[in-house]
Amino acid sequence: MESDERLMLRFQKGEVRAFEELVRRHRNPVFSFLLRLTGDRGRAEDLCQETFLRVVRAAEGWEPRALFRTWLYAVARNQAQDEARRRAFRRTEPDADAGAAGASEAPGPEEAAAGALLRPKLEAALAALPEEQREVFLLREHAGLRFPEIAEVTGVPENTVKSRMRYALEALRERLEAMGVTPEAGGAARSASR
Amino acid sequence: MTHDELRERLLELAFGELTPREAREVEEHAGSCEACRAELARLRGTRQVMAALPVEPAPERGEGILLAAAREAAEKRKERSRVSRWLWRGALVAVPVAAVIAVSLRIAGLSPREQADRDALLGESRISLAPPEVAEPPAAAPEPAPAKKKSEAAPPASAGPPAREERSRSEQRFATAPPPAPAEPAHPSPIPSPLRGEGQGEGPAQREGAERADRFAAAPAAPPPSSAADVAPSRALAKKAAPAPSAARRADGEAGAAAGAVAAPQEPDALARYEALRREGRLRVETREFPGCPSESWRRIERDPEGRIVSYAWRSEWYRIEVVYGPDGRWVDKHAFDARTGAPDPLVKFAVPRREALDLDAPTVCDR
Repeated sequence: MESDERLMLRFQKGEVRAFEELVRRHRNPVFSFLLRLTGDRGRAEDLCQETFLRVVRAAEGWEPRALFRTWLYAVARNQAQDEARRRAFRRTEPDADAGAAGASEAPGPEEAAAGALLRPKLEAALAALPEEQREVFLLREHAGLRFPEIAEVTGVPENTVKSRMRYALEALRERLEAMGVTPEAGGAARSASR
Repeated sequence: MTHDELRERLLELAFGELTPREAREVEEHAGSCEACRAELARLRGTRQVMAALPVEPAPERGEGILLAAAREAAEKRKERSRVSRWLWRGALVAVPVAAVIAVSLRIAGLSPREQADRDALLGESRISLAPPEVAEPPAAAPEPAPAKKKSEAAPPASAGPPAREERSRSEQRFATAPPPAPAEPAHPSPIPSPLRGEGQGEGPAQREGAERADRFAAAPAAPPPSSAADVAPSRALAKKAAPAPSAARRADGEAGAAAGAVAAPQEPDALARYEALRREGRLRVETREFPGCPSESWRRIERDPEGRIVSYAWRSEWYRIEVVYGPDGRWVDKHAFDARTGAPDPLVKFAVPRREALDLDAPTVCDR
């Protein structure tokens, strides 16, 4: 499979198909990351769109000194942070949308299966994490970045990233246990939803 | 590793971020330590449960807009590159023409007494654009007239300072030479550099044309220093128009020796010197590794026996970049290689760092 960096270089040369492939690979994970980071579908959609438009605009001067994926998520995260700051500045009353993560979507067919009850619990446990832990978890588990790369994206030392991940996993385990979700139940739900 | 160190690594083990050897070591420890085994099971168990959370698909409606924006941007880039190609081709045609005119006018303007200067201008390559016999009149008597005529005709064309009575013969002669102004804009273009147009805002790539031309200009020893700059463009162009690299090198060497100065080397010489030093094992290598930074996992510099940096290399997860510098500090060669296959990758663009700015201990891209 052609590397993201190679695709980006081809896009730099004017090959739109290369960009299409990058969008195909990364749009869903980036959207998913933004959705669970912001907890708002509409905002996540706008931010995801703006992230890829930034990629288009920045392609000309892009250099493969870092992984494309690392850079992409750094752009996405910065977008989310800037937007959150702007919202906080403008907001006059509490945000009613906050916390209404992707689970608010119409239920899909798989949710009729055994995993249907599990997913909202997982969403809720994840949404309850402090943002800095949630973003580390999402960057690792959804974006597939390694710890050093997450450190690059978030601008904190790698050891801090690992600590946040430890705290995140511990908090998730405790919350899920309190909701009656154990690894065995999760495994069964996962295999049922497949 | 101590128990605490091994325990610290359980997280990386659970996420598969250890090397096989490290993973084996930590697994073995966890097998014999109940606390670590329990912690590892908790980490893996939580990951396993959370893996049931699927990736949310992005709505399709935005994709068309993205692709349209990408097409537009790509079209603009193509348009720009078409224009620059057109300019480049134009320059390729204009430069030899300008060179021929420059050399012809220059030779025609010489008087017999200035044979030595003309030789200096032509160098050893003896460009046969205008045979010496044509410019040499049989007697000395008519000689001032054409020279004067030319010098009178020149000022309006050159837009330079008007000829003065007190100006020396050589100054008058340079005034008769074709004006440098029209030749100058084109003078970096004859450099057939594959790197031109990379436009990374870096000095070396952009200054290269001028620098190379300067090196050519350093060759003639005959003209006085004040006039050398005036002569430089036409000479540089003449040299390029007549491909005689060996003669040019010889002339450089002689001029350098005569003046007692160190002439800037031609790129092949600097490269050959670097390769020879490398073959002979006379380069001093210094490296730094950054294990926690996949985007810049190591850096390496090589110094020549005089302590000057002659190469710089660094490696990202995907690419390995290598730059060779001449003894004068200008880069003479640069390449990008695929980090996994080792194959050169000419598509990769990168900015060449200035040699003075190189620092093995500077913060990595991960620290910045």
